[in-house]
Amino acid sequence: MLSYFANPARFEALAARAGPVAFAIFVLLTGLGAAIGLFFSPADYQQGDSVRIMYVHVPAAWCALAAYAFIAVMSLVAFVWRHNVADVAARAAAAPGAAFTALALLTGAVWGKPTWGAWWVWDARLTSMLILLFIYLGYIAIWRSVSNPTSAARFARILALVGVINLPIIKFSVEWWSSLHQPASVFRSDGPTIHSSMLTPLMLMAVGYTALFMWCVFAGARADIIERRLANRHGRVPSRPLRTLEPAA
Amino acid sequence: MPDGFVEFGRAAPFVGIAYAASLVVIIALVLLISARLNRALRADALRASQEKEK
Repeated sequence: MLSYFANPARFEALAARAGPVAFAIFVLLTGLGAAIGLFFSPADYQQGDSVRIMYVHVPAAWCALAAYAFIAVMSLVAFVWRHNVADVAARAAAAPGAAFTALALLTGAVWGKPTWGAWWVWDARLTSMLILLFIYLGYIAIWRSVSNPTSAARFARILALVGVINLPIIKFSVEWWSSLHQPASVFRSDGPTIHSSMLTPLMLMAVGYTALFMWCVFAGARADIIERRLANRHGRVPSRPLRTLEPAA
Repeated sequence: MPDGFVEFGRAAPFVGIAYAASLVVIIALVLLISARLNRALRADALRASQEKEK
């Protein structure tokens, strides 16, 4: 399976076909989830209507973590099997991962004000999510600043694999330290503690956001593969702006 | 005025900001990635047509 998609042409063909499907799923499920979350799901008995922020905050946080886990796995694959497509996929996941992390922090702050009375607290969960955002920015910066693509890939893989230690810290921060942030209420060994009327829009949004993430990876990786192919054929450095390949107007 | 209406009035700005911010970030992400993909596809098509002419 890994070897099959390690071929850039095969992966590009897959991305061209699967990308639009993922985008359609994202539009459909996110639209449906947001509509149910805003207008049909009940208000919380304690938080009132501000609980509706959960439907955009929680899926963004899940996708932020999942995107980083994806980058770490792809980096490991690239390290062990030297698959260039794994590097390309990892790189393509960085921008959506950073966007989801920023979104989780932003919507979390907006949710924090009416429930905690503060936009931000130096809580273990919030701080470890902020560190995740910095790791994402560092990862993107490496790809953009190191001119030699082979060195950039090596440095990026190392950062991705070292930074993976932050994932269990984020996940268990609410259990290891005293925290304002609520503990897990969906992925629990004894099952979700959320009523189905709230769980349904939450899961619709989560699957929709995941489809968006997949579209981002497919489209970003496809663009990267095309840029690299053009660069290899015409002796240009992949990180160089592509517009240099276009004729002057 | 019913209690629920008062409560929604208090939460609405926060809910609105959260959903608007999500929409803006997602649209920006989609536009950025689409623009990059379109640029790459255009350059690829241009290069292919130039090679065909040769």
